[in-house]
Amino acid sequence: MGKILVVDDSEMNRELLKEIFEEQWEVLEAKNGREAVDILDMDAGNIEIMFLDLLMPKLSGLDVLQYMKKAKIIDKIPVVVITGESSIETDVKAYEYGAADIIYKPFSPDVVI
Amino acid sequence: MTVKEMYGEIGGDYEDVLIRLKNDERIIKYLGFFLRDGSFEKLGRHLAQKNVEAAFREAHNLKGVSANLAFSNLTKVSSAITEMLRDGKDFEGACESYPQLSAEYKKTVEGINMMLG
Repeated sequence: MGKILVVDDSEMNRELLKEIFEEQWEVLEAKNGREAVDILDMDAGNIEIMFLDLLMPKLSGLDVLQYMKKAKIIDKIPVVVITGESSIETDVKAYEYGAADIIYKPFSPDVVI
Repeated sequence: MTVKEMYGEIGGDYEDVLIRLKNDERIIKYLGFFLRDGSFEKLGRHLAQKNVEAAFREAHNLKGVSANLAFSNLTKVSSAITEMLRDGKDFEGACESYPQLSAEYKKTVEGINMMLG
């Protein structure tokens, strides 16, 4: 079973995403950017896609994207940013840092799929 | 009290949440997540400690979980406080608005608890 990584400091948001994918994928969860980096360090080769919140404690989503770029894994794992921040500046930064797509909260599961 | 009636009482948008969560069973599941969330309490603590960045994150989180459940009134107030706290723009304004947020949050929680019985 392939793996998906969900990174969000909101338990509700992690569960909303987990529900969508858990029948077909193993869903890994991280509460913040630091946990996400720890999971990527161990298991990046098995993660097929990542859903990433931007505003988090310890390490932000943009910091995680920068880490993935430095570690040369940003091209190997598509990152979908899921954010409540709708600003052009944030969008541009996310894409510049390597995000594959952006979805805005509150999201509908149909949009995520 | 039905879920729909509860939404009417607390100033939420039942039709909106139903589009995203599909049925009352799932709405009730995520109401549980809302009650456990903790962002409101953390926001109050961070405002009292004048920790602007942490307060901003918690206001943003509260806005997010409220919007997920289409709690329109609560989303509106928490969104306003989020913007006041962004980059420390208006910390005093955020503190002044906190009682209004608190009233809206308590109304929402009471409505949920009454519905859940």
